[in-house]
Amino acid sequence: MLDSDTRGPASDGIGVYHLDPGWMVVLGSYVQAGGLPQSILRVAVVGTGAPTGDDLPDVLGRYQVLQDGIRFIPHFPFEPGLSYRASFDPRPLGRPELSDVLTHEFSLPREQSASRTEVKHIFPSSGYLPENLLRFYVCFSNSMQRGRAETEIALLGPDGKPAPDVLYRAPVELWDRSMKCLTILFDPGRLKRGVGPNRELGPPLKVGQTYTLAVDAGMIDLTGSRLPTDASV
Amino acid sequence: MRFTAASAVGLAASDSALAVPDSSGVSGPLRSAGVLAFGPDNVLFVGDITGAAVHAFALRTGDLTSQADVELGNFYNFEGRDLVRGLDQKLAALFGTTYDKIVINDMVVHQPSQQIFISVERGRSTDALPAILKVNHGELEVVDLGHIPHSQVGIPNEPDPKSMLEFDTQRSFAITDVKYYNGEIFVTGVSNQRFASTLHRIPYPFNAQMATCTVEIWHPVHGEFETRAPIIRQLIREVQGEPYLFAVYGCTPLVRFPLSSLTDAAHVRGDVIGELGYGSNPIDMLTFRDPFDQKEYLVVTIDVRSASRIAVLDLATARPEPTGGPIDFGPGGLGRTQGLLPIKADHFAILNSKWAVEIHRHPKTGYRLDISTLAMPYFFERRDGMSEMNWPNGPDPFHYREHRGERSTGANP
Repeated sequence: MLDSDTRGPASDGIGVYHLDPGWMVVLGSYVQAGGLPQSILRVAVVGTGAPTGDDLPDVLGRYQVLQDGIRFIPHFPFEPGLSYRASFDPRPLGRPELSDVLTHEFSLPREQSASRTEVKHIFPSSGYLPENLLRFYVCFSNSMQRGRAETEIALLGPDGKPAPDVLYRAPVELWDRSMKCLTILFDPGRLKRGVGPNRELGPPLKVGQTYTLAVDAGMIDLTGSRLPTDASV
Repeated sequence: MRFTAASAVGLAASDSALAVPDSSGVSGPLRSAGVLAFGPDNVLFVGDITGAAVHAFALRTGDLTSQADVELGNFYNFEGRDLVRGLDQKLAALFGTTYDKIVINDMVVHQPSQQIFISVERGRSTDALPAILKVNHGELEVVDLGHIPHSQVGIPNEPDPKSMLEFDTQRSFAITDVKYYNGEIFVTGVSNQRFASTLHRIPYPFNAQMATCTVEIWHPVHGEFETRAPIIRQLIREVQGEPYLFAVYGCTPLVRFPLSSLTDAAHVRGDVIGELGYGSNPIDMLTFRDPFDQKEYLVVTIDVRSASRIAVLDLATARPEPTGGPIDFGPGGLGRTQGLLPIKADHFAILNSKWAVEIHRHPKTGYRLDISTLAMPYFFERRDGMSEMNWPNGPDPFHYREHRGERSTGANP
């Protein structure tokens, strides 16, 4: 039977505590003789999805042998909301009386932000924009995860459908350092009058028409949450 | 000695959600882990966008393990091997996360050990944590950056005095490539504000010097002088005795600069010697020697197209695309005569004289990301397809059955 036991806020790991002093002597000898702590105490992510066919490795980290126990500290902190399984296996110590394997599943509570992340501003903010507009800046109320701009942000034409080949597909998304503001560029080739894409496909925006920059709710913020609704301007 | 049955597995409360990297930990001095390049004496350069720096880690002998005995495949029969299967899932398990939070930014091969190094981040936002890993006989090992001799140089991130914005964003400069050549590193990238093409030349070992030039090219698909597109990848080498910097941009002109022209504060116009095709982004650019004709070729892998193959000798002699001329949607210049290679890889590098290595999605099980070898010069993986030569009594014009038992290793490709 396993109990939970909270420790100080500076640590970010999981350990086995309140161990018998005699037990600690055995553990100490084992480690000194070259035994690996990870054969005694291991942590793995629970239920990660598609199997590879190979066994998935344990979480990487380091170990502290304490006065009355042993603690594992992951190299990267445990993620809130994910399930982990710690297993404590004393059998490598080679003592017949130390044979019970203990497992413990745990997860850290997910952060609840005070409010949902939403689109805070889209610049330029005017309802009338020049035909040769170069870019938009889309700013969110929280830091965002990269990688979804191409699928979630589109320019809708006068017919309400996404206008094709209008926005530049950047090799790297152009976020600012806070990852709250994203630069969306129009295709430079279509903007420049007289150049190939402009001649073939026309400018991105046509005078007198109404367009909508649509930011779909699939944009994910730092905590992994979608936007509450689609946004547009 | 008594063993207390009621051992308690204690759960330590966690700290704040925003993880601050511990510089004595695996991330060492890195704030992010982007493009990679090897320099002389086992130095690994790492582009760090969040830290606005390029780092140099002087790997020690103990940090490298020869992979010369690793089985690479059957060269004659165009059969490679999977060196690591399920790379993103294994990285997720190692870093205590799910596969969708794993980003693999670059891959390089160390010579002469033929050991593969990758730059990885856990997390896609401001919480991203960086790491460098290496492959050792099929196992992923994290490089302990906190204990490796290290130096770094800051990459300027100057505000654009001419940019007029309604609001104040935080500037970022995305390093797209780092390459070492003859005592210097060359760093390219793009700013989220200026979107100008900037190239930095920085002596290594690092000192206070840095030369910065802006580069301009004639982009045939857009029919204009292009300052705003970023260089995605560079290749610096001598061709017929002259050192050049070859650059490939988004959309995808291939450009040549004589190295001597890239001086401090210069605004340099490069020669476009090829247009590899519109609407796509290049991924990696490197050269290899064809094991059959012994000639050198440039390979550019591209995200939505086949990879391009161009003879290295042609890079020096190719005439620049005419400037101010008619619009050409491409392919143009060397793009017209390019060979096409069936490489569809997220990351790509050369392992040795006969083998390349790629990080790719397995074509039949798209969820699995693998590190696999690929035989040169055709970069054709026969295992991916069925052919009649695989059947016991089928035709075998290329004599695959005779060569069935052969094996290549790093030491004997």
